Amino acid sequence: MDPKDIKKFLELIEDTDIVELNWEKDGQHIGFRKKEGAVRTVVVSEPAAAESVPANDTNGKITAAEGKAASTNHTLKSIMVGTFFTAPTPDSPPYIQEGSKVKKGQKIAVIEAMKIMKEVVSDMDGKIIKIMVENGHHVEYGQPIFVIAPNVES
Amino acid sequence: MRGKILGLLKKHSGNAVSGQEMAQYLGVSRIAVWKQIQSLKKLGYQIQSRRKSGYILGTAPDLLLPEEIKHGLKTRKLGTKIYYLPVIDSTNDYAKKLAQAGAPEGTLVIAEKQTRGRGRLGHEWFSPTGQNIYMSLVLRPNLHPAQAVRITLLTGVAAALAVKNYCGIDLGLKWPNDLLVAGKDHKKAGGILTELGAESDRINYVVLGLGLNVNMRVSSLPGEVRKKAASLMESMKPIAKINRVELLQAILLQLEIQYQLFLSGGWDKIIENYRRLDTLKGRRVNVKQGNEMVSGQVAGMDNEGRLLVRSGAKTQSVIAGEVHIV
Repeated sequence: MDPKDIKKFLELIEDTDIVELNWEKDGQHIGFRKKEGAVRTVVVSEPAAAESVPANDTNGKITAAEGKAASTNHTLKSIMVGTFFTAPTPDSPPYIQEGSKVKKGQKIAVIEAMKIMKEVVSDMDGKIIKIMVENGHHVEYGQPIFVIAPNVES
Repeated sequence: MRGKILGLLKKHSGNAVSGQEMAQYLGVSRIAVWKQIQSLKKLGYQIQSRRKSGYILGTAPDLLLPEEIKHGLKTRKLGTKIYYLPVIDSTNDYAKKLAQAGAPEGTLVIAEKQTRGRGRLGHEWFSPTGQNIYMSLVLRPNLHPAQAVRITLLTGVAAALAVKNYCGIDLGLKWPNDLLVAGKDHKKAGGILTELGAESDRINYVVLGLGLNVNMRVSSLPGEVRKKAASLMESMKPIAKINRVELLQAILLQLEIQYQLFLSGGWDKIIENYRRLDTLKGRRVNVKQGNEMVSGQVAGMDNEGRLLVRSGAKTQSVIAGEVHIV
């Protein structure tokens, strides 16, 4: 990463409550830790497409997406501490993917703790904008796990 | 109706009851009584018909019929409503549908065979016909969802206590949900799979699934599973077939006792019992938590029921995952 880009990053987060930033180039992951604690991981885009995007622009995109999420999109939070799974078994296809249309009550993930399986269901009709936790990762109570764009009433 | 006739026959154990008497008592025709007698015979009940004196009940079939389970069941809540299924894909899936449709606490689903018996994350649970216990219970505790994990642990304690009381076999627990036959090779005799339906701040339902190898011959299992499995019958000394109905009644009673203890603030007592039955303390383990791996020596469990794994000076508490002994 170019030192200039790092400087731009630091300037960008200077006035926020972000205390930690993880950046991974090949997988194009950007994660940041806010003061309260939870790590948010956002998959920005496919690696090939992201190669040419300057770092500050990439960061700008996240900010825009987050801003949008706050105004119109809905964040689904975990009600349990445990391990997050996007598919019923390791070999089966995921319940949904980013971009999938979902119905209220549709099963979209499972969280496991001490062999308690908690189905995560969509609480509205809409579209999955983001899956905020990777398959097989730990989730905390109250951690955002999905961003859903509700269907707009016509 | 069938249950009532069976009840009358049982009450007169060994003595004849006439069709006329039963018909009058139940306010139905003698033909109706006769039809129910035929249906009981079809289920496998030995019933002698004597021309002048009536019907005499002989042996009951080796099935987990609701009429049998309810006869002599000492619980107040668990098993008051029983769904009996000779064959089902999974008792947990069936119970989950019942729970979603509003089935009350204590609703019990029993199957003689499961075609898609499940362990965690789709691991298969082998379920041959008429030999073992496959059950799922609907519970509706007034608790925060985070507390639900304790139900898996208390079920393990209840099952181990019931098996000890009824069969005299010592079972050990492997955190969080495996029932093992105590001994140096720790073979698995049962497992628990709990599923939760909840909103953000309260539990809607818990489906508690328990599979227990009772009268199965371990040699009848496929190769890979056979090495790790045990059955209660084969753990008896000498080997003896177990009355599944009575064992199930004992498990339901223990479950009710532990569940009530939990709801009335007795969690400390339950975790104390779990620690006593625990087989992992001191063992070196790898715990696979999704994609992450925790390795070290098991230091025990904290009061929340999380597994403590120590590696050097660092102790990690584990809430989810698969434990492999190394």
